[in-house]
Amino acid sequence: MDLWVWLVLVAVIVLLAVGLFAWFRSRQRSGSVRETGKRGDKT
Amino acid sequence: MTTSSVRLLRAGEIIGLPVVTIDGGEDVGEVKDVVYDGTSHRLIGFTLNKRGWFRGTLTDVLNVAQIAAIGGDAVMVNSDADLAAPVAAAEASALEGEGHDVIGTDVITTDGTILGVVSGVILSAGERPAAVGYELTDDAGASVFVPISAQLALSGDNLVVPSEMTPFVRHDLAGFGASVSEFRAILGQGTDVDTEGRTV
Repeated sequence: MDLWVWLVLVAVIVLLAVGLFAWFRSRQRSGSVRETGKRGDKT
Repeated sequence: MTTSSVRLLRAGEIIGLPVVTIDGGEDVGEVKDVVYDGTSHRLIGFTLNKRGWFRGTLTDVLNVAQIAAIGGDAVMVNSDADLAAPVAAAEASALEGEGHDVIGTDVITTDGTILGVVSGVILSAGERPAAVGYELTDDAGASVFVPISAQLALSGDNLVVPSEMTPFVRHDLAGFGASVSEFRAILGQGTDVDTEGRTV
């Protein structure tokens, strides 16, 4: 294959890896406000 | 009704705040999850992220007993040893994932009126931090504040609140502390919320 095809392929793979990392890190770091106890409990 | 100077703040505003040590001034982490007890409504503590977006989560948790102050810009602890302080088993399990996210729950009164959807939790940030109310978003998209009482019932899909609470619903956070105090006084429950409902 031509060199430019390889370059595009590598660029796409790098972009995918960066996007996946950003998505995973964003999910991992996102916070929540949690209440203990199960649904159905009377409080 | 009391006149203590306890501030009210949105639990969501604590998420992302840095945790700073008083003895060294170091940023030792930032708040990830805010966890409170569904029965007593008292704050249990925070789970933490490492500082910096590229870094992951901390395995240490911050129990409420180790918190020196919750400010508008930072959560203060005395030293970084407070993050590794022993935590009771029940509180540890609560901090490590037990419980459910309250955001998005429908709120309905016992007389069948839908007040809105929970969009936030209001905390009192005094010596005994606790959840004192919910912030709802009503059908029109406006914010509504309702006090939490010991009579709340969590059903499968909805948070059911007594219809007697309707007069204590507020449309802004200023003055909500007074509303919580009046509501709890009627129910005969103690409160440490100030009558001015000051916010950070």
